[in-house]
Amino acid sequence: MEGFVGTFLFTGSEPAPTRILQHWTNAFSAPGLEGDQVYSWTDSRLTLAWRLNPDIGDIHVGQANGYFFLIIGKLLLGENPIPSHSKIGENPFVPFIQEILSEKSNGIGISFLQKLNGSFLTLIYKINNQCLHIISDRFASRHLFYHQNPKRILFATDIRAVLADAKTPKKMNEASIAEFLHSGMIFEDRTLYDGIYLLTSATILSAEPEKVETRKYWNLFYKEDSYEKEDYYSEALANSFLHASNLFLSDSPDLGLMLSGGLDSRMICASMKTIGLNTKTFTFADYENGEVRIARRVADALSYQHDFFLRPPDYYRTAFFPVVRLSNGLNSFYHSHVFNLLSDVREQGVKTLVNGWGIDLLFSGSYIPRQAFYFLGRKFSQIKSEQLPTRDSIVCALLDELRVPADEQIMSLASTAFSKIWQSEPRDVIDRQVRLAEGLADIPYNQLEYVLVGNLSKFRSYLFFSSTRAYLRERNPLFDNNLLDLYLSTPPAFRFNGRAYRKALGFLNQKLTTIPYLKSGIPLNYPEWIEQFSLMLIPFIRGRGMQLERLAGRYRNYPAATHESSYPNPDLLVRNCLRNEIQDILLRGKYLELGLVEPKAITKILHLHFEGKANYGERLINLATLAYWVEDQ
Amino acid sequence: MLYCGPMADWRYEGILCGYVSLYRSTHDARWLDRAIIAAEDVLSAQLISGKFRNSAFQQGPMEGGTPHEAGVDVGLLELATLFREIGDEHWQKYFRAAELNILRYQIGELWNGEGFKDQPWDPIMVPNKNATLIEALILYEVLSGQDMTLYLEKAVEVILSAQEKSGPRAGGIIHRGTGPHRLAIGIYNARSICGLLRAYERDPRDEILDGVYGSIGFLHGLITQDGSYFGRYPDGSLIANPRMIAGSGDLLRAMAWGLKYFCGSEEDVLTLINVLTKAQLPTGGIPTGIGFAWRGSHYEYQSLPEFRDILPVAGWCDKAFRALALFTSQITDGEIGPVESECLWKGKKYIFRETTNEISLSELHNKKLIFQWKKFSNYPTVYLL
Amino acid sequence: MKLLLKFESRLPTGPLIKNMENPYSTENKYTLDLLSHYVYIIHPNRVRIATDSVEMAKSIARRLFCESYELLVENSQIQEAIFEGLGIRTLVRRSNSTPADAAVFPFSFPDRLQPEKEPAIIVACLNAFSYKNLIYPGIVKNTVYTTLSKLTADYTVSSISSLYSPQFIFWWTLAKLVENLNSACYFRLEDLAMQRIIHFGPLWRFSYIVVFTGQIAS
Repeated sequence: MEGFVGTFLFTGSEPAPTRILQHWTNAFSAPGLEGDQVYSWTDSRLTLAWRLNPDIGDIHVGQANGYFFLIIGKLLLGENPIPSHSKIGENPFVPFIQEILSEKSNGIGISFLQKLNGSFLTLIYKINNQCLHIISDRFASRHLFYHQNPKRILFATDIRAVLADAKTPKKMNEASIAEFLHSGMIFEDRTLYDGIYLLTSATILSAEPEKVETRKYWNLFYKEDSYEKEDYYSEALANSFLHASNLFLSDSPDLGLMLSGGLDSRMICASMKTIGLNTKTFTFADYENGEVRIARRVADALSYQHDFFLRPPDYYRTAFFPVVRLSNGLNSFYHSHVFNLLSDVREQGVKTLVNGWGIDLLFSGSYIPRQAFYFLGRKFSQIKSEQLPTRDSIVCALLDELRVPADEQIMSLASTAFSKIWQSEPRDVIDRQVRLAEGLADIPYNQLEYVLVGNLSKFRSYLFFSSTRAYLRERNPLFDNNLLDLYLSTPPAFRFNGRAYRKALGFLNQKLTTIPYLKSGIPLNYPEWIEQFSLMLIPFIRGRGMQLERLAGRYRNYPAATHESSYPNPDLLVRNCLRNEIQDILLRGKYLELGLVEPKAITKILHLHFEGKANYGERLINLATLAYWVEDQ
Repeated sequence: MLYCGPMADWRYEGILCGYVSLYRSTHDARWLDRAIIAAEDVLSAQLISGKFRNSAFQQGPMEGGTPHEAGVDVGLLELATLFREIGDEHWQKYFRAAELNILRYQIGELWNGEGFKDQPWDPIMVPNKNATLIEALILYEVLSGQDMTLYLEKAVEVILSAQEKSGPRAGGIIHRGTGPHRLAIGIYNARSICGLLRAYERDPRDEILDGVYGSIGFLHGLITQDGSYFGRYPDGSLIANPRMIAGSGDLLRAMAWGLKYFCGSEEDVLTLINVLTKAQLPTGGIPTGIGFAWRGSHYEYQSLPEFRDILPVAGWCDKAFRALALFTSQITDGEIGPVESECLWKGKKYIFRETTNEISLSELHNKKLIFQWKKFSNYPTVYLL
Repeated sequence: MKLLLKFESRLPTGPLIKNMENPYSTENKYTLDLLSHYVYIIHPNRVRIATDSVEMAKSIARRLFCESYELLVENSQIQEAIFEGLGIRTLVRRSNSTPADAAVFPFSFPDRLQPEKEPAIIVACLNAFSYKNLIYPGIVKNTVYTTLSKLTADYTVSSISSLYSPQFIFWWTLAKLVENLNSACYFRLEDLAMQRIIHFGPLWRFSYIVVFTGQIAS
């Protein structure tokens, strides 16, 4: 994966040899990927090393007018890409500098920062007065980890490069561990380690010889004062998608689209077709399931090539270790559904892989809680949002959505010393986030979504798409400011169940709305009451069908595969495919020395799970991820 | 353990360098006095050939030991450097002794144009032995003004060419003297790192720092709370026994030195300091290791220590002494006491005893001695091992 | 330099005894360590190094000089070699002079040298009843019994120990069998063998090297 590491010294400190920083970039290297090149730049205060791969080409470095730049990802200044397309001999960073210099303020001004668009991490260093600025985008979609001590600030796009410095203490943060084990994500700017932080969204970190400061240049303010009709938002969404796709994708070579056949990937696919972009499409699954069939129909409807990538039976076993290493200790390895297949995607001639991750969170209201009813012991969600009258109800709703199931056995997992924080921290951190949200939104649903959108880059499935950067250039129209602004002004009622979103698809391509949606089994343009009925019936029928097929011997090599999606059932995954690995690491790993868990409780939980008496798959996966991370350090 | 007499081997490297470090940090003259006594021991053991009598630590009473005599040279030259800094003319005496050894033996007999051989008849060039020589030659170069570049560059190359660049032992430096087994041994990697660091400080080339970085990364995987694993086999599997304790002093020195160049971690340094201090016996000695009973095995030995584990040996304790002296700025007198402990030998339990007068091993029930060595004597009085 | 080189060994290979002379060989190291230990226990003042091999004499001198014994050697060539190579002063034994307190016979008894009424002798000899003759038939001529029988009635044997006993050979053979297959097994087995390289039990009868001490009768 491309990335960089650097040290900025405060007055009177000794620099690390440039060569050592180059070694620290080894943390970024992807298994089996050749052609990486390592470069460095240094002066008396800043030492920087970066690793790039010419086939990926998502790092841009330049120097002009007394500034040094390093940009990773897709950066636009308004609608102009940086570096700009320039004539031969013209420095492509000149427009960028001109914009910075036009600011009246001495440093990097707010109005300049608010013009920055895209999915990027930008480093700007003013050479003469030795001032460093590192800027994250509005989602912090590209991670920057940093650690500061009295002598230096060390920063890197991979936490392992920060940990590689002997001066970085490696004490683990118990609150972070509690959150990770609870929900597979760590909130706020924390990482697994005390003192190592993640640069949050829309933030500029500025370092000078005597001080460092971070400041937010933009925030998620929800516009709740006046609303339009639903069609307005649908049309705006369709246009925004076209606009974002054009900005983000039209200058990227050799496109490939991860096509699940869901609403997000259909929208992107339709946008690309409308603006005339050619792309290959791919679906990844354990077998030719409903998702694959639907995706193929979508691709055929748009006359795009479609390929199905079969995950081999031992996929998760072989992906476990490299993905944990890649995770920065922030995400469970479970969400690495495509990582080990990316080399195959490259072999298809794809250089840029497009995905629609996270768009559903914004425009489908996926996490707005639904009312539910119970029938014959089974829970059925309704297409009706649940009321959130109080802060506590928002907190509870989020905990319900994010919490990996827990019972008494799971609660007994924590050691005596750790149990208090294990129990209190998940609620405490959500509560803090909701209180923050109260200053930015009045509507409870917006407050709820703020917690998730504001921590998007910490989201538990973040690894699903970010891991693609190890081998390919990754693009997602989600990170367009225009699209984000539209989200902030769309009322929750139109976001819920993707109401405006489906109509937006209709604006782009009516035919795509007639292709069934996997979950409901019916086309997207059917009324909600039919959809409600289908949501109750279709999964039940499919589930029984799959059971019968298994009895007949199908899917023998994929004991964890489900009918619901292309993601394996975590309980079955642990029980059938990863038993030895998880057992081994949980019973014998170095993480036990942290004293956070009770070894006897682990033995019992493993026993119950493997015997099929309980389902602790997600918990065990989270714990195993943590255990292996500690082991690998 | 049959010959227990004096040897002028690599123990003097640690002893002399340790005393020099203590003097530098405390300016207490007693450390200088002790260094002089040790240096005089070595001088009296030097033969006309330039070699040192009984310098072959692992071989027994034999001169020409490698890297032992180079280690002795390092000790003498560190002392000579100190003496010269403080303006004491005695530096020349120790310098000349080291010079005689370097010119007549190391360069005269072991140099083959591509590096330094293990013995005059044995063409194998062992990396860690070349590393000790690098340290000696650089110290000699500074004191003598003679340019040692030709020898140093080749010796560095011997080390770097033996380093595995990738695979399960990436960074590990192979001990070429282990034949087809091609072991990567922790304590010898540590010595190689120190040679490379000395060379890097003289001539800061990237490939040398690369070698240091890689080898320190390899060592990181060997460090445990109760010693350092012996090393790794070619397939990357652990040589879990013995876990070296006293000899981990060389790892500590290497890791501490590496920190200066941002290689390694402070945690590993602290762990190693803890390993040495925690293991120290009341007699002041430090056990050699843990797991000699399962020598070579992949699986950590967890049972009662074996006789060879618990026995403190001068030629390993000096490494601990030298390394710990780097972290010491104040010495307080401590109490010495006896040691009595159960241990195993050939699968049977015995009592190990050490006092200020002797080391013995006796049967558990009838107290029959199977080994007894009275300190300051050259042979055991009882040897039935 | 030339003088030194005259006595510096090019390590010999080939016939048996020459292997013993190699100061780096396992046979040499452990046997002579054991011999020297037995000398130490006797606490002599004067020790005769009863060998006509320069290298063997040097190996013993290395081990004994630290005890301040008066060392007697068989000829002036050996004396010169020990002094030039090791800086150790020795005396050349005269046949009519007072016997030393102890004599060490490293593979030199009975074929090359005999005791000269030293009160104590320490002898290392080869034994035909050992693994060596199994592998190389006839390479060792004498059995330990033959050697012992050559001791005159003047001496009684006071202790016998041995090296390369059947116990050692068993473990060593196993080690060698697996050497190229599994390094971990090899080192484990090799260590088990080396722990048994010196044997103090009854298997000296079938060991390759036997070390015995003898006391002169009254």
